[in-house]
Amino acid sequence: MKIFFTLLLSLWLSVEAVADEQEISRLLLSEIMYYRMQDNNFDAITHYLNANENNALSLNKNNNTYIASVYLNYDLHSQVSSMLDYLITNESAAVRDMSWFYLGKLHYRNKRIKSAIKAFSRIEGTLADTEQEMKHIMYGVMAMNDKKYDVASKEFINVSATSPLYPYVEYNLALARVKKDNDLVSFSKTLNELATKYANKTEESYVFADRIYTTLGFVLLQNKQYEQARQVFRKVTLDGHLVTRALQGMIYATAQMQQYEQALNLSLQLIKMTIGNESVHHAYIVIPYLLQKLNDSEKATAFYQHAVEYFDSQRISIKKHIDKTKKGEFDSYLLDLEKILNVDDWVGDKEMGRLFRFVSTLDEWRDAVYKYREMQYLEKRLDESFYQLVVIESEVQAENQSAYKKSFDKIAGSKKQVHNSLLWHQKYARRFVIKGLQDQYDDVTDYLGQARFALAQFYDREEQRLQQLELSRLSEENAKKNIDKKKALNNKVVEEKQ
Amino acid sequence: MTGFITQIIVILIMSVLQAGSALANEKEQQTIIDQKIKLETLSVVKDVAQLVEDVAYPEVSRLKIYVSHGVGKYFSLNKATVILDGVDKASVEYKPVQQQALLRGGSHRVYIASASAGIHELVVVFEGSDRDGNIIKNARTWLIDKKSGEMIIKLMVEDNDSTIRPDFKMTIVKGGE
Repeated sequence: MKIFFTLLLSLWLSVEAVADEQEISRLLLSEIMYYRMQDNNFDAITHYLNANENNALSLNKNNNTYIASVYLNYDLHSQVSSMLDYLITNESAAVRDMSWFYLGKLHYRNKRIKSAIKAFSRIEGTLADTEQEMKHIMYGVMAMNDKKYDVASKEFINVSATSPLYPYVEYNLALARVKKDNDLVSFSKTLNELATKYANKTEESYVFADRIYTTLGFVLLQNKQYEQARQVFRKVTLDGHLVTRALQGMIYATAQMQQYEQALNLSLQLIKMTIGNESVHHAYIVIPYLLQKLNDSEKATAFYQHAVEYFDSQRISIKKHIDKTKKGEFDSYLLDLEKILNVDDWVGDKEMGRLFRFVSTLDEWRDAVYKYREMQYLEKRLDESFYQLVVIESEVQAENQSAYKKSFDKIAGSKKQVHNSLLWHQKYARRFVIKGLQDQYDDVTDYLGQARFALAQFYDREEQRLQQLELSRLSEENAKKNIDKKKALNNKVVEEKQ
Repeated sequence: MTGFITQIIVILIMSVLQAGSALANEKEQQTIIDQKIKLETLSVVKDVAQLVEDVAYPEVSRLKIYVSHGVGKYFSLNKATVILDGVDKASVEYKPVQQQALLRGGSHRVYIASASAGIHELVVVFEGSDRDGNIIKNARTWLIDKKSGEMIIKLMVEDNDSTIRPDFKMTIVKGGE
């Protein structure tokens, strides 16, 4: 009897609600959300497709916007247009505007600038504060890239001081104004204020302040305010990535102030810091020049020769890496975002790490690697589907036989296409890396030419100097001979008179 | 002579520009191809998943169990173990990113199986931590009466403000009583 009552009570408790179709729809939508919130757009979409095919999902304004955002996040913007059409014809202006905003943002993120502008231009009303500010920043950056500094300034002004991106907006605003008005004095004043405002707060603001100090230093150099420039460059943090650039600026300022010995010491410090860096290349040309200024011809000659050897070895090394990249020998590194971003950790090959450091800054490369990995993921999912089919083989009933066989064909067809696309992106990524290396090769070749030319000029000058010395020695000897002859003649005349 | 050199330079510049634009076109074309590939792959994977579900778990006997979570004021789910008729059937551990997805309104299907019609004992062990970080293990038992056809069950971890503890509820979304 006790067991019966327990059973009855449990049954009563369990039947809390037998839900209707709406509840199934809500559950399926929350399952889509579960994947979307983990940024797993692939599974979010397959679950959506499945639910939609079974007519189990009732789509309303919110659901439709949500599904559209999943497609957008998976960069399937072509699929979103029909959903947006639905929103445009059926939903409020606010929903419509948000849809255009997200579409525009996606295009902007993928550098489809024309499409981004087109989508943003469809926004009719005012967006929520955060979105509105993001829109101004994106428009501002696009205008800067387009050299429309006036437009960029107008956009940046609209960003509120409370925005977390405000420091960068202020910096870009100052940059847009100086590009437009060329007013270096007010630009340097603004930069000084910004650096004081943001320096020494967080690690991020240190990086930001370094950038401002370096820019300000070069603006002051342009204004021929050498001592002020030197003071500003000194503020750049020693372990920051702009330290070599700041040191280069300091060397230039110091040399302009004719403090050659100090400039030489700074240059020698710079070349010890690293190799293969633009500022270091420059120092290799500057050092012998400074030695000449200090009248140390012997050391100047030796250093010119050293510079020529340095640039020559750089060229050989870059060429070797270009050839290996072309052969695909570095693909395991170059197609791995984590590895390339921690390029300093590349085991045993510092030279390679140094040469490839530029890669992480290439947007096109990043994009290609992202797509490559996306295709790798699709390959993996198709393989999983293949094995799922193999597992259920013995259980397939006659009514499912045709669908079962078709699935294998579809997997094979898709795998072929995915693999072709994967190879395309691999080749595309490699192409940008080779181009970057080729640029480095060309730069070093330029420096090598400069070093050889400077060395040749130096030899010419030395030869001329020696010739002049020789001439003056000869003329001194002649003069002495003349004096001697004159003396001998005088003596002869005296003797003859006697 | 100068005219000839200018002509060569113009040709060189034009070819560089054309190469740039060809590259952009090539990329644009590939973007269209990639979108098509993605859609096809999504469709294939969805079809296979549906087929596998139909074959391995026919609708007549299908049982699906989902887990959902409330705001998570008093409990955060780390692991859910499903025991059906005294047999361990599934055990899912939730990583922080998955916990967040549950707390933000996501539902996760923890179990799919074929089950005969009739009364079954469903035990679910919820393991997680309270707001002080203490580990909590809570087992709940329900009796479910499965009818013929698909049955969908939703398990819900809810906040109970009056007891300052979580409540573990079960809802039959489809099929059964």
